[in-house]
Amino acid sequence: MNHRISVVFLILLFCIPLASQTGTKKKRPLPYDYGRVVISNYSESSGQPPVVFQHWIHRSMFTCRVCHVDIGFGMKANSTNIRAVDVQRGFYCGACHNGHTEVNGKKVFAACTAKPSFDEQKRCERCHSMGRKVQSDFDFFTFSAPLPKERFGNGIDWEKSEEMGLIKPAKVLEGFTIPKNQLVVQKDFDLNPKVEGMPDIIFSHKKHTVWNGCELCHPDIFMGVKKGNSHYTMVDISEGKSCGACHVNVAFPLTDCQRCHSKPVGEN
Amino acid sequence: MNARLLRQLAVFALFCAGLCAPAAHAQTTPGTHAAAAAAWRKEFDDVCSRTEQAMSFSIEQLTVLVERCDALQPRIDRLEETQRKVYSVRLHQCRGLYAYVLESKKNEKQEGKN
Repeated sequence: MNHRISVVFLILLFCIPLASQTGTKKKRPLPYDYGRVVISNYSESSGQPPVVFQHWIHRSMFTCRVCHVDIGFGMKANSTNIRAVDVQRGFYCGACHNGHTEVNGKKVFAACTAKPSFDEQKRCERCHSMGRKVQSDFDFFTFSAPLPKERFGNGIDWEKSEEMGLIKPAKVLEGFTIPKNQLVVQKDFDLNPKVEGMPDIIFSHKKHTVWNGCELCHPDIFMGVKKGNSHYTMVDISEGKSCGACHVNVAFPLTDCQRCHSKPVGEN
Repeated sequence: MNARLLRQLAVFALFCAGLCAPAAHAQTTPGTHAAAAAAWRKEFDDVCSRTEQAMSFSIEQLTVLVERCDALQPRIDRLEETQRKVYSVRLHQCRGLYAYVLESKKNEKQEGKN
């Protein structure tokens, strides 16, 4: 009898901590996995593993706008419904991954062909890499070593990296980007949080438009026309709404509070 | 005899005309298609190249831009599937911004009156 009780006790001892881990607790991604997007619209139905897209390497080469406005990638995983034929026609990933586009003086490898041969299959695996061990041309640690550091996200201060000239994200992709005149930058403004003692948010239009332009955010992400009429909550933001469209998975994360809540309390 | 010969010549001419017409059509069609393709893209590039100046436009200018976007949509709807998907999203973003700024300016004007 005593033996049975001790077995039950031991089972409970192991199960209670395990059960407590199954709540809403989210594991923080590792720096090289922050911004990772798994795309699987049609991959699996065509016998390929899902595509694993790494934001860190792509954002070091292009501004957000090039991909999310000029090429037309959606802001949520799988929202674009990319088909292999779209890529083969030179759209979406095929805008660069076509075997002839050069980025930073290097030819970008081509995406899959319609019926890849055995040799070409290796090329497909470079993107269709979910669950596969694929050797990339870029090593995150070698890439990030010279860049200024941040505490969260990829552990890289992307803004400072560009200021220092260590990365030069292109604003133009030939054939996709429409030549535009100089951007008319709107004023920065403060947003007052409801929590007493919490520093105000200083929202910089300049910082956001330099990589995003205007139409990436307005009106799809921020639809409020008049300042003060839209109410944002941290719950909504953490669910990917408003600021959370970028600041949950790709741009510096919400855990880096002071980056947005940056106005000293009591300062006018 | 002459009348018979003339009739035969006329039939032959009609037959030749029938043969030549599709060929002539085939010669002009790709060019016409290319011109139509270039025309929608030119209009798209022209309309959507102004998004970064949206805030500096007047209500009238923004209204025209929204109308031009609306006029482009049916032309984009006729494109092949991939292009239609890409450019519909791009047009949606571009039109959305103009409509958003337009609404904001109309509100400002209204508030100015009150």
